[in-house]
Amino acid sequence: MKPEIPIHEESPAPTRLALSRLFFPQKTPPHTSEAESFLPAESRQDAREARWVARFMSVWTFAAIGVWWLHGARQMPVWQLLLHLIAWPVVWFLFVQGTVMACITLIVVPLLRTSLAEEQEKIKSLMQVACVVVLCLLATWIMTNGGWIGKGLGLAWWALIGAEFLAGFARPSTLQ
Amino acid sequence: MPPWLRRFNIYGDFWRRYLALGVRYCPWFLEPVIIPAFTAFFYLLCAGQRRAVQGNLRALFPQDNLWSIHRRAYAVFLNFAWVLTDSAHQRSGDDVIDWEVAGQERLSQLGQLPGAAMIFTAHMGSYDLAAPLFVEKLQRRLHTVRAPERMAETQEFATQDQPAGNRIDDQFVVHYNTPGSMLAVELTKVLQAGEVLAVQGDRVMFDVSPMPVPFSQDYDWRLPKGPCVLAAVARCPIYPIFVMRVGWRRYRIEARPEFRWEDASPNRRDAQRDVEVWWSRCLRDVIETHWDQWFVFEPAFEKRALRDGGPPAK
Repeated sequence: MKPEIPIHEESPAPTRLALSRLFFPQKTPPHTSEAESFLPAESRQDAREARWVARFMSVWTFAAIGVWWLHGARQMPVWQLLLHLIAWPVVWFLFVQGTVMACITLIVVPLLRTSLAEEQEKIKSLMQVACVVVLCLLATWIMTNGGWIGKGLGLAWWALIGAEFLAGFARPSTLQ
Repeated sequence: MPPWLRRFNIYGDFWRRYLALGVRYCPWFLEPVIIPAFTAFFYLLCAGQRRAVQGNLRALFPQDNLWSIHRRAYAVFLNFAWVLTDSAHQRSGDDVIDWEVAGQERLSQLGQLPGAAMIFTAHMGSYDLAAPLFVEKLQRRLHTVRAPERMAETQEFATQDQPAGNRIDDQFVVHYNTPGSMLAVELTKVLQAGEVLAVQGDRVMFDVSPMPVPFSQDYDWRLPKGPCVLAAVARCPIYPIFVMRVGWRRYRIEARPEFRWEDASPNRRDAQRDVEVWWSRCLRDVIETHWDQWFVFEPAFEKRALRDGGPPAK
């Protein structure tokens, strides 16, 4: 924790994505009249970025997993389709959980037995890359097999990845 | 139930360990996807706790329909999940929590008091999260009271890996309210030694005696009697201090105006009643504003008709 400062001297929290840097102008969150002082954390994150990433990732993963899970629904009898629809949220939950757990099992656990065990941040970064790769594979699959909805969702994912890559080169003032 | 299966119980250590593993390695962009999903899972699974929260919310918002009550109850569960997640981050060594302080002057006053003092608080936010900040702000030893975890494995996990001998460890003492622990005597000694004692005065658990306090036309709420009895015996300054989650990885410590003994009755029993009335007003004000983070998963209110055996008061 950093030293205490008056609340009006609070600096805006940084963003983690280059895209957020471009679209969200740096600003401090609104303060309530009661708060007087502020103790910033060492590692902070812009709340607006956290919110939009949460919304996008929730909606996108739910829809993309739905496209994958309901693939071939037209040929299903009604009862099977109904069962698939009911199971969709559960499959989504298990898929997202499973992705993280599989990456931990396949990447983190072996790494913890090596000399990299102390490099927590590096392992975390590797986990992020691995999860992005899994989601990219899902996006590619639904683009090729998921009809026009799958194409749209896949394109949205790849557009976001491309935009984030390009935004890394842009100056924050470009789009503001 | 075999012991290994008990660990998957909602009070078991499996979920705590799973959360601890998750916060260490789960990518930041998936964490806000997984936590609300897990919350929904537990919301469906924990029927007893869900019904208790819904019952408490019904007393707070009697006009709400079933859908609104569900929405609000889910919000309580979600906030609780975020507080647990943030605490797990802090426990794993990530410094990710921003703090706001409101009532700075009262906190300094409390820190500079020569003798004993009590802090009355509610089950909001997390005192574990706030402990380093309290130690820093008060510059004096703080004692807290906590109910032990219901399962030995969970209790062991909750207390393990706490760095021993550091400043926080020396300055932040936890007393567990276990059956037959003579807690009242222990806490009286703490106050006699002139130290600061923080108690959560909003939840009646295990064999804690309740005191019914009128809440509304139809409801009385059940607050624990112990803190008010202790305060009336010690007659030391009482500060209501709350820890609230106000945003993404952001919490606030709010110190509200203290109880004034000058206005209280000299008689111990009447003084206790004065403290009860003052505390119930304080608490009511806070939980009506921050209902979505009042983490009381037991029925806190009882319908007056049920207790009196007659129809509710009109």
